[in-house]
Amino acid sequence: MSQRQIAFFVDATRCVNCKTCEVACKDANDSGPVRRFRRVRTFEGGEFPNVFAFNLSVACNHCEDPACVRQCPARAYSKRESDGVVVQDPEKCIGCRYCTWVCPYGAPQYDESEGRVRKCNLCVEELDRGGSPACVSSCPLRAIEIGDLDEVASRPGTVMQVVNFPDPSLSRPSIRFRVPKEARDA
Amino acid sequence: MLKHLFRETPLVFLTLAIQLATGMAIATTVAALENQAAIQEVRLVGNFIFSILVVGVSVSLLHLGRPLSAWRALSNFPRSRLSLEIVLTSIFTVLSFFYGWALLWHPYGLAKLLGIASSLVGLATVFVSGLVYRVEGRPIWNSNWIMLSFAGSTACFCAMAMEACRIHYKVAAIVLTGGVVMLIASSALFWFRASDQVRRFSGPWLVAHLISIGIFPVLLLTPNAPFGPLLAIIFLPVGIVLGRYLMLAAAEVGPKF
Repeated sequence: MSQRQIAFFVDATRCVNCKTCEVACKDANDSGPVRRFRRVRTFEGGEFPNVFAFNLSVACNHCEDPACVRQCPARAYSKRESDGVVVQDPEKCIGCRYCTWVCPYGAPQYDESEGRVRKCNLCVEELDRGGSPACVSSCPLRAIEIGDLDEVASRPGTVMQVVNFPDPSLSRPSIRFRVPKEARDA
Repeated sequence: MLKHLFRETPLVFLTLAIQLATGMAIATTVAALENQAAIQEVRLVGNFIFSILVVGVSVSLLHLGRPLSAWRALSNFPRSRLSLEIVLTSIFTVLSFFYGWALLWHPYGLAKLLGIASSLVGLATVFVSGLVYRVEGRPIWNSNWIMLSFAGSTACFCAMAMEACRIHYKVAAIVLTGGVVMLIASSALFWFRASDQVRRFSGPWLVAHLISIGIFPVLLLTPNAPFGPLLAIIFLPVGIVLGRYLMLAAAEVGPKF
């Protein structure tokens, strides 16, 4: 268990699906045309007249109990003690793609041309220099933030589970959301 | 879709090789324990086990993006189910080599012990390889139908090997019936678990799978069926292979986050 857990806070009430975060992530990680470490997804639900739709920007959730760390046969994943970031070492990856099966969120992504998997590493190099991940610093509406999990989870109107999101008990993702009231109640 | 499907052919090879080898190990061990007179057949079947496993493991390396780094897959033993499967498969392969050797040079003496060991390790490998597919990221797989399917395939292969070793017909028929029942049950559980999207995709495949695995026992039980045993030997493995491809395809078609 790490001493401190960094978490994402995604404010769906601000996200307009501009995909700036996706582009910034692609640029920062040089992830090529196939892989999308960060993806903005649109979720809909409710019944007329109480319908809702919101956008969520999701990447790796740096789970508290990450399935990738447990199940990667090559130990290519590790969870940092200092901040709980789940880091993937592409050099150790053998390209078995098992992590793409075990991750409930589709975070690890395989590139056939490289023959290995990569994923969001929360821009740890930038983080260690005191900066922010590319997605956080690029979002024009400040819809994505990072912070301590305890602080993020205690913000008013924050939820852990949203419609169509995998059950959080699977791996305890380090992400919290603020979503429209109708989506909270659904 | 088909490109994704055939990319997983190495995994079809590996899982079926493990199940076939386990079935053969059990059949030849039973023959050895019963001091069967059909020693040439038992030797032949027993010595194929090692070759089948070597082919299965070798082909499975093609599934990796970096096959030359495959040795790293042992790094997370025993925490990773995949590492555990690889270790067990390796032990099974080594045991099967010595089992084949013992059958050739020490019929039914040392061979009995090695046969029992190979069979138990083989069963453990089948079990763990089923667990490998119980993953949250692929909801269609996260169910007991996979384990049932793997057990059913193993039983069917075991029954075919028992026929080859000339073990009593009734024993082979019981094992075969059990295997086919398990395969049909796993297909039913799969269907109930599948989403509408997966059902639309898999309907024809499932029908072909069920027809193929259903033909073998019918031909076996029908007296004087023309070309009965030959058709049975063809249709049952075809049905099992179809089922395995369907299992892998369903995960690609089915919902993922």
